[in-house]
Amino acid sequence: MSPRTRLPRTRPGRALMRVARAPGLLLGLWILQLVLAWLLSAPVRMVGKAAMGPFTWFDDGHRLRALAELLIDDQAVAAVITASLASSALLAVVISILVGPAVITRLHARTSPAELGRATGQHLGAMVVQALYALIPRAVLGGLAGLALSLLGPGGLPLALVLATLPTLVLDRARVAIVLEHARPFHPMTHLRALAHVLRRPLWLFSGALLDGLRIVIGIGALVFVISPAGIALGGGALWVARLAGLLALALGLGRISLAVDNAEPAEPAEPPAPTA
Amino acid sequence: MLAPLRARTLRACLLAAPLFLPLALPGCDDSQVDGGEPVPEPSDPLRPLDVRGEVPQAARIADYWIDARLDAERHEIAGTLRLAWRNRTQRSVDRLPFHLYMNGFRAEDTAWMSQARGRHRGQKFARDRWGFVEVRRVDQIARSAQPEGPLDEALLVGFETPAPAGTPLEFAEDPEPSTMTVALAQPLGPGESIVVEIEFVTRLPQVFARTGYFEDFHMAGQWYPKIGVLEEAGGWQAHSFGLFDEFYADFGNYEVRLDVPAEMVVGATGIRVGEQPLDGAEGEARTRLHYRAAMVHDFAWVADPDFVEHWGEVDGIRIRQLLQPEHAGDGQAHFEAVALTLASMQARFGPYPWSTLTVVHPPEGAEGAGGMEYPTFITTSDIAEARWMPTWLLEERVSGLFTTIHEFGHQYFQGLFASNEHAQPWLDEGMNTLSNELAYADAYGDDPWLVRLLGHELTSTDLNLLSLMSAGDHDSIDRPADRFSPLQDDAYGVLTYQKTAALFMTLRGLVGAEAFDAGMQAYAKHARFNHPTGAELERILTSTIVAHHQRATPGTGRATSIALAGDGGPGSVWFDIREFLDEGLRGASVVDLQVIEVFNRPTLGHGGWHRRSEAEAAEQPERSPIDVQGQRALDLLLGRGPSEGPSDWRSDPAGESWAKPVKDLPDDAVEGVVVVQRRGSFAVPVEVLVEFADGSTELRLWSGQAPSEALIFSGRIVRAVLDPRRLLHVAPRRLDDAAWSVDRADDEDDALTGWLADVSQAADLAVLGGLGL
Repeated sequence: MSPRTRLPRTRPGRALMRVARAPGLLLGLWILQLVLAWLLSAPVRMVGKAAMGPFTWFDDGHRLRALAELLIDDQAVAAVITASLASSALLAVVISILVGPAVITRLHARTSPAELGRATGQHLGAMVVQALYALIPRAVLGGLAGLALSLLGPGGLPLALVLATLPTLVLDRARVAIVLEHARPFHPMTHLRALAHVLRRPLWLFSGALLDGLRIVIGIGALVFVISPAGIALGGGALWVARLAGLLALALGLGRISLAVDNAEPAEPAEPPAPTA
Repeated sequence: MLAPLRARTLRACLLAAPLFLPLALPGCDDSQVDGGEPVPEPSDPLRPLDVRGEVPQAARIADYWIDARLDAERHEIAGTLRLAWRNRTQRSVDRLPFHLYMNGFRAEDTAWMSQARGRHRGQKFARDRWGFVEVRRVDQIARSAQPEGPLDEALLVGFETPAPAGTPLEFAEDPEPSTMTVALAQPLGPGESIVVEIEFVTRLPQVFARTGYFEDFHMAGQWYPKIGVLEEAGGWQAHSFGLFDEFYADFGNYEVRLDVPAEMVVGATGIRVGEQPLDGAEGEARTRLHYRAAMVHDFAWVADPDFVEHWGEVDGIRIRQLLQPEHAGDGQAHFEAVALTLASMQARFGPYPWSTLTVVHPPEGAEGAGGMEYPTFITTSDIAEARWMPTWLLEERVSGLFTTIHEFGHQYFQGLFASNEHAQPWLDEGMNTLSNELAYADAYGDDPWLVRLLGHELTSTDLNLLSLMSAGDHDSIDRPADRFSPLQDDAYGVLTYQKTAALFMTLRGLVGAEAFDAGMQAYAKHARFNHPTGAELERILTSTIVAHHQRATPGTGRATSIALAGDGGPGSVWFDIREFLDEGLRGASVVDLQVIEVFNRPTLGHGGWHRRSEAEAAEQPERSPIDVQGQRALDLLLGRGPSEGPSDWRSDPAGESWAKPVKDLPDDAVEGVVVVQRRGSFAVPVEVLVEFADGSTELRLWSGQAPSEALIFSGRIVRAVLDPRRLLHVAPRRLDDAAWSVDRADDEDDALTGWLADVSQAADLAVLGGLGL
């Protein structure tokens, strides 16, 4: 095999170390998430309190029934919760697009704020376009993941996870290729090449799926904990468990992006052709 | 029959509807046999006399002898039936009305179809797969001046031998074809009896509402002409078959021979007493099965070549299940559900009288046949499958098994207590739903959970309350089935099933389980092999409860009322059971109570001017004018109010209570006030629990008779809760039942909405983390 065709190795450990070397990035993003989540849940708290009026609920053994009564009798509560979740989903996508280039640049060990800002400004359009391209594999592979689950049951979970994660890894790779390797930012081939790139690296695929799977499990697990009687018994502490879980999930998400960064072969921008005499 | 709304309510509650776990039922005792080994057919359709008790001979009115042949290709049943009917009333009749239930499915303009518009409990009518019954001949075979004796002989002439020559009788369908009338040649007087023979052909519809076929599966319910009920007071009772109608018939014995394709696995009411191979036309192998049932008021059967059998025995009662192969593994769970229900109902309502029970599991595509009851024969539904769902996430005790429990309950409520389901559907459906709740409670403890989601429980009462929220106040319960609007499907289900059960559970909670259960036992004794009415239930229940209270504490029971608090003297809180049932059954309200306000105020002191008592006045020395003038000058100088008043009055200094904010007063200088309100007309006594600042509590009973009332308590109240023991099952809205006192309200976060906001924040974090980056 010639040196030109040799594939860069996937090194998950080294990728995670890149995250550890960027604590400011991690904490900054975490605080941003905490603030957004707090802001988005504030209307839920207010509308819930308004719906209860002067009354208070004490009957701890029948929480689901009470919740159902609240949601049935005051549909504004359900509407605000839905709006809150939709807003957080939208914000999540916007954030991923906005901060994507800066995160990639920072994980590539560039720390200058100017550089991070420049990366964001320079690649914003490309991030949007690549995210749109990613919708197609997300739909197709998401459907396949669902099919695997319905056919194989819980035994199909690993396959479903790999299938569902693949579009995210491809998008990571496409973004990194644009930011660090100066691939054509708007061309669909960039996305297709990213797909081939990831598919040729099983270790990346599986470690990325594992990181993303863990991230999802931690996020859902924290939510389940807050809902559960154990979380309720912990009082306000349950929410801090969820917040810390969010920090861990964020680190895993950055670790997944870092896999792509670590696998990149940074290049300088191509020189414009020299004028001919 | 299973309430359509119940299924819907549960679906709404179980957001992950297809993701259920199998039910883990308590183990059965050693007297039970279950599994794959066939249990021998009992020799008698009734249990031994010493177990089941006497069956009143007077209850035996209508005996049927039916010979029928199933054409599985055409889905038709051709039959001849011989009916021996006894007039045990003092009335003379000149006609016999018959139900032709299957005609309800024969055209769009029948009463049933016009109300259903091709839909029933989520199932759809298959286009042009109509069902009908055609009566071809009605003959009078015999008459007798006595209700017993010669008739039996005439009836017992087998179809193998020529029938005695009959006299043709005139008959005609009524304008609504679900009934027909047979004119008698001569009136049939009191105590007389008659045997008629009817030739009929029934075509089954493709099943979507209880009866019919789907591919090779054939469920034959309401498949033969069935005589109405002659009541002493009300005359003939034979109602048109409408959407919410069920059935009403007299008890009798059945001898039924079924000629079916040999590959069919058949189940039926009663016991199988004979089986004979036949050679059908064109070499088709067929079997003639002979069934016998005693003291039942209907006969249903099912045939499907794919059935697999599951056998069990409880207390000598053979339980045979006919399952689809793919659900064969669920037989044990359903068997245990039957066993626990049987144990509960026998203890509460007396022995199950028959020696057998058949449980039918319809195949996929024939779900409309599921959830129906016939004597000794029920159809159920399947347990939803998601065996991989971890129990910490979701557990349930509902899918499939609730259907089995409910339909088995009908063996008592209507099978044995044969009320008129048309006139008072609540009396069997609602009371049966009550018995189901009691069966669950007997198996798992009071108000057990039916669904457990992430550790949070939805109990039987919770689900009932939620269903009452949707339509509990839409109309009254006690109405004939045809008075429920088909446009308000929810109202029929909620009122007839859930609200009735909730009403009687509320009564049980208020009067005490022991008194209530004694009342229900007395009713069961009266209703057994009888046609009980709602009025009889109300009367028996009321009188038994009052007598029970009077016995336990003399003076606490009078006429239709009992004293729930106090000894029956002044200050006692009386509860009129008759008024409660009247409002609950004939009114449209649900109980709606709320705490209007909880606050504390200073206690009343002794400051100010009071007349002296004579003794005080006698002891009081007369003051000189100089003293009085001096006192006035001093008051003026100090800026006080005049401390001198009329000579026979005295002045006491006011305490500090009125000068300070209530929150700054010591607890013993404060009294608490809870203002409670009854909204709506349904008045019931309700317990009010208050918690004081020192952590102590007090439970007080408010009669609920006044529209509102301020209850005063000694000490500083922190919070107040209405109905803390959740006795009022018929009060669906509970979020306004509790409040902090006003001086605490601003400091305390509401546990429900605070938790909801926390969950929302955790969900936002999960979404931000899940989709972000």
